[in-house]
Amino acid sequence: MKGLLLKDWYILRNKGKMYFVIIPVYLLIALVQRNSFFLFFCAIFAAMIPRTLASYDEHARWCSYTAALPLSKGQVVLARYIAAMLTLGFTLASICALYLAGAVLLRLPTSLAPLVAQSALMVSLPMNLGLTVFLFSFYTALSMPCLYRFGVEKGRMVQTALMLVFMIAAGTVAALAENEDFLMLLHISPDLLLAGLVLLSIGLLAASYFASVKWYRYTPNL
Amino acid sequence: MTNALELRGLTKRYSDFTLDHIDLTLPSGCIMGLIGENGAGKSTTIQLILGAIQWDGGTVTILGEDNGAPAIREELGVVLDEACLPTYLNAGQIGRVLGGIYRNWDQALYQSYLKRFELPEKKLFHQFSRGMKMKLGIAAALSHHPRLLILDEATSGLDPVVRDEILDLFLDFTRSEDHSILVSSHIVSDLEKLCDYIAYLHHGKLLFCEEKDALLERYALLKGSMEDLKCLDKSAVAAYRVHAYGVEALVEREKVPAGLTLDRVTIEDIIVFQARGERLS
Repeated sequence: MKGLLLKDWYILRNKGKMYFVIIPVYLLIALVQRNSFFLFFCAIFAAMIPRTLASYDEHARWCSYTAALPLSKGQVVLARYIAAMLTLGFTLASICALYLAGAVLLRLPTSLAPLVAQSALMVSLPMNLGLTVFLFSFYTALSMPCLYRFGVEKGRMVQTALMLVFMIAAGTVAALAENEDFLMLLHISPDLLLAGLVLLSIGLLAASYFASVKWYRYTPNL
Repeated sequence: MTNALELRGLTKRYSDFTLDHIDLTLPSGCIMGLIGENGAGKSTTIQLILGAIQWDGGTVTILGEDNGAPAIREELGVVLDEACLPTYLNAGQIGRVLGGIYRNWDQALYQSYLKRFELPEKKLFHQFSRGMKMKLGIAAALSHHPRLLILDEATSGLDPVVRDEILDLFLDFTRSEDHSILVSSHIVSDLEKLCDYIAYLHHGKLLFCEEKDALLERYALLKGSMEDLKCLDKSAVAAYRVHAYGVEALVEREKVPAGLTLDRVTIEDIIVFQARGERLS
């Protein structure tokens, strides 16, 4: 399985360098924005990376080759989920780095300080991290089984439909998180919501992994 | 000694094609050629052997083990048509990837194949020519010391010099008596040069699976007229073809009366007659 992770890393290194530039750039924009669009768009953008990796595999017909490798379907799928988690880790680390940069900027007498002070990124680091984890996991949990069930091309259609569901969910969650009165009304503290989102994310990814293993096919086009 | 490969009643049904009850045995230390026209079912058979597609009936045993066990694939080297290696990786990276997958990966051996085939380590796989791709696929397939090689059209599209080089490599591989090869191709001359056994697939059915030398010994070509043919026992004539100058028939040498002039056959003759020839009614 180490080899599969290495392969994904090499593909990203050889063909996907832009991802590692675009995610921090979007977060940099989020640092001077009042709304959280760019912050949460990063979660979606990062969640697209595993699909990109799968499309390179399918293009190369690597999926057929994996049938001959001493790996179970579970290991092949798990490697892709681990790659997704590493992508999420990079996104979360970028958020933390930008948050720290924002905190430094707030202490400096620069013209950017008022903008940063109002930034959605600076509101609450734990809540931003929690929401990013949830949105990333939600998208990944829905898209990965489709990818394994239908292949990259057909899966793209299903994924487009899921985008709609995703945007509605993201909007609802963001609105709930920003409206503390509403949370109080529901007797849900932000901390509890955060814990719930993280647990829900874990549950969604676990269910998604088992569905993906069940649907995984070495020859997606047959 | 355990057989390298055993297929028993292997069946796969598609809406427009059926691979029908394939029975095949590849003894250890031997090379078997799987021949058939395009669409005959060669690649489907190989995909079924690898477990890449689900079959509708039958069993596949590789080196005495069920083909579903991932561990048995440590013993398996595979070269698929177009090699199917990651397009945007270079040869060095592909070696490190496979080194992280196979327990028996031999990096030094892999490097020696890269050197022998003059493959650049830093060039991306998609920038390789077809010949280079197949050579890299072969290097990857051999570098974890497999006991069974499965090759799907590994020599098609290659120039004669490269093909000859690759065929020599396969012959070297089978010098060890527990090394075996199943090779599918529609280039019959390659298989005739390489194989101990020939299996012929036609429209999803296995028409024969026999030792090459036994086939060449059993069959012969008879040239004559239709009347000459009708004088023979029907069971002696496997198939015949009518030409402007007479009739050419694939006959079983032992069933033909002495005195008739018979020509030697090639595997290609046997296959063409089996596929396109007419039967005596």
